[in-house]
Amino acid sequence: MTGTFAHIRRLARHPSGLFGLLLLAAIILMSVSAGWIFPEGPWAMVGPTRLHPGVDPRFPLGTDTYGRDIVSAIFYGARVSLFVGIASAAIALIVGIVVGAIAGYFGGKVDDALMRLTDAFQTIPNFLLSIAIVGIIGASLPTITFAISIVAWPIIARLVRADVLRLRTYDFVQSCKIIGMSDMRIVFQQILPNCMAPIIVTTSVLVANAIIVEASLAFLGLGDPNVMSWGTLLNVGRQQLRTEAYITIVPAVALVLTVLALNLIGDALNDVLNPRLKERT
Amino acid sequence: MSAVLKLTDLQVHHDTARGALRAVDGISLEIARGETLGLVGESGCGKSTLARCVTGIDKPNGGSVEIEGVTAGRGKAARLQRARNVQMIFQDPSGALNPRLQVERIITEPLSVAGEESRSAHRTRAIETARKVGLSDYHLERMPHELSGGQRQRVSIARALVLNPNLLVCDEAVSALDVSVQAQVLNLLLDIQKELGLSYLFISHDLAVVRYISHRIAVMYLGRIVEIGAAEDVWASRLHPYTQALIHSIPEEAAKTGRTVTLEGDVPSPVNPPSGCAFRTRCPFARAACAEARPELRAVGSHEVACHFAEEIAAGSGAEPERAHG
Amino acid sequence: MSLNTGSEPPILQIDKLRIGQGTKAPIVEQMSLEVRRGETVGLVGESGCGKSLTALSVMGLLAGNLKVVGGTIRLGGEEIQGLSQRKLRRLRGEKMGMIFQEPLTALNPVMTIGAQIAEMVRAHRDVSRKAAHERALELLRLVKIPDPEERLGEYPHQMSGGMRQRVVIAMAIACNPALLIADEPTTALDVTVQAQILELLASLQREENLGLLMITHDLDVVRLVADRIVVMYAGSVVEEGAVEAVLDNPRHPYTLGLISARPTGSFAAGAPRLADIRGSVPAPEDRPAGCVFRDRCPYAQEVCATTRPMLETGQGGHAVRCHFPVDRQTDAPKELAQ
Repeated sequence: MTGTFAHIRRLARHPSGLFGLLLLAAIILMSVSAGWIFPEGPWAMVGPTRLHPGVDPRFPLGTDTYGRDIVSAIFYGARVSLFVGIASAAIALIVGIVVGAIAGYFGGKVDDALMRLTDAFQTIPNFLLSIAIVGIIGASLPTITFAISIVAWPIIARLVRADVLRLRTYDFVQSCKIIGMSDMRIVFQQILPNCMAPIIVTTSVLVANAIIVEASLAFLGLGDPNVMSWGTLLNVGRQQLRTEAYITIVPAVALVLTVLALNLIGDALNDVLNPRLKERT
Repeated sequence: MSAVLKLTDLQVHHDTARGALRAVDGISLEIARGETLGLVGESGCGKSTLARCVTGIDKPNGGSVEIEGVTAGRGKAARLQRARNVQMIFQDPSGALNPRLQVERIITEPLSVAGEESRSAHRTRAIETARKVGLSDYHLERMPHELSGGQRQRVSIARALVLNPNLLVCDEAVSALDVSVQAQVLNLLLDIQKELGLSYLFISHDLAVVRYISHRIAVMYLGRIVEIGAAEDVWASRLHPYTQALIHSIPEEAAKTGRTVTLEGDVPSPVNPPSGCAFRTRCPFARAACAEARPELRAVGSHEVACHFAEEIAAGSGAEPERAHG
Repeated sequence: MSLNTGSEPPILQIDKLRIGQGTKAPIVEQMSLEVRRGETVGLVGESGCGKSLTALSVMGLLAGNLKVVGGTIRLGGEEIQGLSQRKLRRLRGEKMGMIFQEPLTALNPVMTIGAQIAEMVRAHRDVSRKAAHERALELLRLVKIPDPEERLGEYPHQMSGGMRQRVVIAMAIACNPALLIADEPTTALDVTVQAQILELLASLQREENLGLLMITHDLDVVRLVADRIVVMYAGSVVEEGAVEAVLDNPRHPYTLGLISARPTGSFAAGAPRLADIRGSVPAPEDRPAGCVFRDRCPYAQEVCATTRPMLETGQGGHAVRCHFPVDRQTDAPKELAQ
């Protein structure tokens, strides 16, 4: 997989890609180190309430209305955001790739049926469905992840189908048929590796989107009550927006930077994986 | 002598929005061991569909495909058996190779699908086969995009040869190549035929190439064979008006005769072909009888032709009607 | 043959053209070519030799970061380098037209062909809608499209490949250009349709007294339609002259190789093995020093590696770029025929 390595190197040389990578690395580091730096957890009331940032060096970003450390909440919140983002994108990828590949490769009635199903899911308003599912099944991270991915997979499915539809007419696919290769092997081993570029790019957008949806749910109080999410902090800050605006601003900035990082990486990946496109402009 | 390939009344229909398209409409032919059958015709005549049927990519709607005396069936075992006997080389050497795989892997893929031998044996076979087609160990470690068009076509040929098939279907296998590279590949095909006793079904729109490499030539028009016979026979005594027109249209021949345009118009739609003889709408010799009955292939002189008036045309070949100057 | 001798400047005059891409090795260099009114010049060479780039540079249509980095291109005696895009656009269509290989991509799929031709006319001529429509009809008749009135209302996808190519030709000659450039105009077509299109181009060239630059890989097409032939290899001209002179007595080993590589006769009936040219065309950055053809040439000697041969003109304007030109009449091409 020397190719993958080369892509990462080229990504690191891409200016906005590098910035995105560094940001993302910082966020990952935060989520990994949260347990060591804040062993008492994000819920512990460790200081005075409503301490503004910069007042007490022990709490550089201040404390919220319950006296909880905001830095700690941001660190633990990064965990939640990354988990939901990555897990829901992974589910969307698996379902989307399988559905799209089968629809594109076999075509005909199979394609028609699968694409109608895809349409049905794609027409559901993303956020409303999440609220409905969380409302019915109850708020927990797995439920939220499920709710987000169920709306996200059609995007991947359409992308994969279009590419497989194009690639299956290529002579190298025909020759695989002639040598008697099984359809599954042709799809997953021969065709799919050739359409990874747009999938990878879209995945970064999916992750960013999932993070936003999770934070929005938590902000509305529909998040998992057992985990500290950036949305939870936003929800707490909402009531004190006039006096303690920092409680809202800090998680909002964290959210913006994460989504920005993912979008930058996505754009950079687009350039790196489609070098021809770049040369033309 | 047993035939490597025997097609009997082969029918392939495609469903289109405007009705059933008879891409291949009742074709019977045989290819003997070590023989090259050249198949010519214009785009849409069904020659590629025929190739896809022989290799098993498309399934026929009627008739049979017999390979080495065994009627080709479906199912996994039959598919693998066919793969050992029939392989194919494609037109576009870049589209025919998976851009993500190393050349060695591309060449040995058929072995692993056939479940043959160990991994280490694969390497030996890859080197052996690559040498046969004029590639070296160096090329085995390259990716397709690092090779020239001619080298890619050699990789395609190597992959087709690795299972030691008896029949190679070459679908416009040299058409996308530059003249000098085309000559290299044609020479290679002749060499490996001699060495391995292969049979070729050689499909091309380039008559000069087909004439050069084939023992026999079949001319197709709208899904049917209109003329078939020994290569030099068909070329020299071209009996069917369509064969005549095709040969006269080649710039080289046109430069000799000083007459370029031999046929007006385009090939009619295969969805709704003309009644009787499908060629009559473009045929300079067409008469009322041509609209009524479809001419069947019949022996005329040394080869077979599907034309009601082949004898007359042959007898009066000097007195071809002069086309209105186009 | 050329109808007017010398008094008028050639309609197209390319001199020492160099086309490059950024700082990379030039793709076309020392490219010189002339086309006069009333003559057909066949420009031949294998893929990657730069023949299409040369045509595109004349049209001012080089894409991406490809640029003319040296030499001159004169159209009717007027230098076109450094002209503004607007002026170039006027020249395209009025003084020169171009026909591409793939007629389907050269036409707008959502406009009727009548509208497309009329628009072409109105872009260059200040005429009424009605007059443009009349002209479109006239043009379709000129390119011998049957039932032109009906065809005007059709879309490209409703036509066959041959008919589409006729439409493209009609658009190219809509404003009576003096120069027509045809880049592999028949390569995508079937052989019987190819014959029709070649005949059409030849008759248009005669009737309209056009200068026709026919770019092709097919030497037989050149023999059929061209008066002069220019053979390109790896970015520059290696041989040029009258068609018969060059094709019957090629002096450059490459031209000889191209001719001998085409199959004639039947191998089974005793035709010889094809004479192939070993190796393949080098990429611009891999071109050898000295003569660019030397590592594929059976006649190459030491001097070929060190000194680049010049294009030297012999009798009858037959020019060749080779230190050791072959002469078919005296020495048989032994090495090549092996």
